[in-house]
Amino acid sequence: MKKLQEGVFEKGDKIYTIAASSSRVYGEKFIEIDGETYREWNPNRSKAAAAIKNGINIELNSNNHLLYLGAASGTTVSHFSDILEEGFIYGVEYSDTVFRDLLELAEDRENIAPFLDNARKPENYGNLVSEVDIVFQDISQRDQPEIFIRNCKRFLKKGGIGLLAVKARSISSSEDKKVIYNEVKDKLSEEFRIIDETELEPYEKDHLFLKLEKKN
Amino acid sequence: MEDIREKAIKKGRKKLKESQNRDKLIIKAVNFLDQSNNNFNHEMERFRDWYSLHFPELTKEITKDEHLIKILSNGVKRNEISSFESMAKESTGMPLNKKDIELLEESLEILERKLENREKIKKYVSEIADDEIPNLKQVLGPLLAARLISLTGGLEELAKKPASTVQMLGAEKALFRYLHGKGTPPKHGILFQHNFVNSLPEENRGKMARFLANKSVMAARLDQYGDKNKGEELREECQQRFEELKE
Repeated sequence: MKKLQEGVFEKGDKIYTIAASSSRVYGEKFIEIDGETYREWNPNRSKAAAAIKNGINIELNSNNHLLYLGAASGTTVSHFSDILEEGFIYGVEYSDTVFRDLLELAEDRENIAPFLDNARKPENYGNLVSEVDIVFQDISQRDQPEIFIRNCKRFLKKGGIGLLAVKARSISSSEDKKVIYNEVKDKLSEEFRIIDETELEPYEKDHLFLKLEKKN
Repeated sequence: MEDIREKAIKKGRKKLKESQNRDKLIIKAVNFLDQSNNNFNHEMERFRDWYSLHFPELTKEITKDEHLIKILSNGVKRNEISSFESMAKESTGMPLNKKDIELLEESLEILERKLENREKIKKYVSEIADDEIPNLKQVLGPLLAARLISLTGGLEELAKKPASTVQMLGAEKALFRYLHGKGTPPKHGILFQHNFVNSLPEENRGKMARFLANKSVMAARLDQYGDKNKGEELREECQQRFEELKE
């Protein structure tokens, strides 16, 4: 087992996090090496894992606080929860069907607070969320850059890291993806400096993953 | 942190419980119905294809699916189907053995059951609509009413929308294309499915859709917050406007 990034490990062509809980979240494999239990992190299921496989250093530190927009049923959240041993995750999800799974995950793990809220309205969960080091977003909506900016303005500390997956096809189904990516980057560049970027091929089609740093 | 987590979990549970509205049932049922229709059409197409190896003349003659299913429901063997004897005699299709017939009949039975199920769901949606959205049902009919609610996510959400938004629901792609400077503004979204809109000449459909959207929103608001017996009145108004525009 080779350390790839903080809290992320590699063996063969697969990546892993150290299991913080023995419960299975989405049917992932567990393996045990030298007394440590690792959970396989599937890049086809998690865009963060796909980004790591494509060379992005997501730079999570074990004591970071992270705001996760579009937490869904908690697949990616569970791996972040593994990495952020002494940190904390605020997970926002608007659909009540998948929120049930997220709630179950939060009950099992002590570093997740789930919010059944619309990420367009940070004021609705703002009273419980404090300043964070990282904002992660995986929301397939046309106005996803605006949603991201609004949340970062309110919750992300200066110099904090923003990670987001942009789904070109939910912004426009016909326009060339390069044009869409550039529009999104333009919108973000006022508030952020782009540190790194990659497409998520072959794991996801027409997705761009951005790593940003907040300017002010 | 522990405190925040507990508060968040508690609040999340409470919200899940509060969101248990009966209008959710209609949404899921109508979504299931639409998907099921789609599946049925695909499967039926394949079945026709399959069966036409044996009796191509019949599948060509009977274009209505329900009709074909009914004719075959007593057996699929071509020379045992009543009132198509002469057609069967002339048929160019291949003969079938016992195993072929068995599977064809079993598949047909499933399709038949799907048809029955479809009717049941329609009735079910209509019944819930009577209780939950009587006004909107009067204006749009139970299925379209349910689809409209499905697009907004719930009756309360629909009741809070402006009529101009409702007119565009289901035409988001065209609307945003227009807003980005390409194409023409859409006149109607899902409301096009309403007979009053789609049976008018093209130049009047926009007017009707706008009118219908206005009345639908009124109906939804009354269903959510007010008098549940205004449907008839609203429907009359729509009918009147339709007659005007028809001329």
